[in-house]
Amino acid sequence: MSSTQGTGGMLDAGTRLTTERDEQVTVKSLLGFGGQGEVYEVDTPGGPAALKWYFPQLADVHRWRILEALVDRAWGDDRFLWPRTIVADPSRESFGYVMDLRPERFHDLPALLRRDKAVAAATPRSLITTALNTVEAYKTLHEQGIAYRDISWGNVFFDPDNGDVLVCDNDNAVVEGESAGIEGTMNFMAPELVRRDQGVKPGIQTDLHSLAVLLFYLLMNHHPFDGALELRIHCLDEKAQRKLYGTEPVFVYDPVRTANRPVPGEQDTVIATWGVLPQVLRDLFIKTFTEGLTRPGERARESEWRDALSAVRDAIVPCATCGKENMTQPDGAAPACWKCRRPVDLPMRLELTAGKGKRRPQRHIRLNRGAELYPHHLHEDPERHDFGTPIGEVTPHPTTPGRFGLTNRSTWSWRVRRADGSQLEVPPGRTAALRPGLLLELGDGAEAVVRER
Amino acid sequence: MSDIPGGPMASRPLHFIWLLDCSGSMGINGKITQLNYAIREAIPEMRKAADDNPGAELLVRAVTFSSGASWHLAAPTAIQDFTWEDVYAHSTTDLGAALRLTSEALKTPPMPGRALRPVLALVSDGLPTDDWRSGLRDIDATPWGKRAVRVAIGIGEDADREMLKEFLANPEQEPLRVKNPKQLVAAIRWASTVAVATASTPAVEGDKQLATPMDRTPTITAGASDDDVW
Repeated sequence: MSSTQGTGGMLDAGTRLTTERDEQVTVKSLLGFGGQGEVYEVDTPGGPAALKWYFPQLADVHRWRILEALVDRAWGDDRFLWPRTIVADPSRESFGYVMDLRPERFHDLPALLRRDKAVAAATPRSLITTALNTVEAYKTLHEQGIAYRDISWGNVFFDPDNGDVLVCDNDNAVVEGESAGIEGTMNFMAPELVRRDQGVKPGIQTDLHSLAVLLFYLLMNHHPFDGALELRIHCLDEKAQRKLYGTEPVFVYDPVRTANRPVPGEQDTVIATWGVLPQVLRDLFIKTFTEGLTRPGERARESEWRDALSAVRDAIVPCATCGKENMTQPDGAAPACWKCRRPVDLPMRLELTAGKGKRRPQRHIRLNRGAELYPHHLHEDPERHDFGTPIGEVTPHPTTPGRFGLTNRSTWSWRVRRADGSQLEVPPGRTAALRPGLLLELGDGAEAVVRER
Repeated sequence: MSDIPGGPMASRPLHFIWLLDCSGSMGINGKITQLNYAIREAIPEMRKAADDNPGAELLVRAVTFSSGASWHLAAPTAIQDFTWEDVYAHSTTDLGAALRLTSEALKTPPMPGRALRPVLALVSDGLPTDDWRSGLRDIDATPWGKRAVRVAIGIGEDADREMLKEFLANPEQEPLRVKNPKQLVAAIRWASTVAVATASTPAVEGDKQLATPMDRTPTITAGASDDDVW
């Protein structure tokens, strides 16, 4: 028998367990614990992995069945730490599951909310990308009829450099309509769940509220209902939160009900962040946190968030004075820089129309130096935004300072049509000079016109 | 973080107060040493719990009681700066004095106008020797004291379960009873983290996560431990 050593948790280091696939896993160390169980680093035949081990009182048949269903549904998506296989041991009162380890480049959202140095690399672009990736991850789940039911700042991890996300604790996800017991913390829960309205269960519609709260935290660094009314509360206990988030929620920027505006001097962060948020995103928050409070069907859907976030990402412009990135309204006017307050100088804009059919979405891409075109720009309803392989990039002219062009990074040729009717081929690796009025045929039915502003 | 607008998220203070029994019996079989060890073991977990709850600013203090009571750590100390100085055992079990002393700290002021629920964590191994009920009434008479999240740990067979239960003032909640150093480490860790989570992010089902907590301690690990006896 192998020797074991305490880890401070339920399982000792050296403990050997067997998975449902008949693989041996060996416990190495306790990584952390939460409301449902503990997470260990374990050795498996396939290398190091993570093991979530439930507290015994939560390890029941119902949870086992949920886990089985989740393992069966695994689809190898790198945005999720999905349960790989169940681990049980007849001599123990509990069970768990094996999943991949979370790579170190992923940080938790509370670190961002605290403005921790560990995530200091975050920029408006990486945060918008994080939001977009989060929305698409949940969209993927919801499209399969799976409700996550516990969306919070505790189960989405992000890379502050590039906005990649990793969704963890997926063992709370169930097929819509099934119950799984957990209700989560009130600040993320849909008001109807906080109020415990009769017949309301956590599901995809309530997920959409939680998702909007998560996006608000991510982009605004504040809770959407914590305004003047929150400051009147002495002790923020269960009763106070039930009122604030359940029975009398008021969005801090509700255009009509203005009683809960943030208070200067006390809630300056949200005043600053909302002040520089493009209208296209403000509209979705307002809709979700006003009409959506009482009519869940009015909550912004993932596809709406995706389109708005994608559009804002394409409209991020560095300030010519201080260099800080600014979010701008996609086809809107130049804002004042959030940092130095000088007007942001807007570069030329690519007005791109995608798709071959009747639905032809228009996209506006600000042509900063280094701005990139991606495959999703050319699709009318992209499955997923992938920023790994650009198909075009704004580059400076090799000899003439101040001249810029769009370099073809794709594997196919583009076509340029000039105002006089002449046309030019732009093969891969070559660059089309950017000037207002230029028409580019980018392939697959997508075309783009360069606009001055 | 000067590349993104907005400062840190607004937070509320979460006052965490240890109430530690330092009576003579705690000196027997090294219990007080184990308590010092267990609190130090819990510090990284408390920091983690605070980090996980950005809406809470965790501030720690400690009161000890034996013959009378005194602040072992009087200043509310940010958990990131918190270090543990050993406590020592001697004399009687004046819990009432400790509760009275704590009740003074739970008035407004010195408490701020806005905060999260405070946490009161009581650790004791025996029967109080003074009028602890009067001290408890002093706590309950303060606005913050009556709303406090309470956890109680009884060490060994002689711990006064009824007293600990009365301190908790929640019929669904049981005191944690620990019989060995390993359980004490687990109980202190549990008390200091779950209580912080309960106070900072209230759940819709109330303080349920404070109920039946001993299942979460490592008592189910197979094999006997050689430190089972004090």
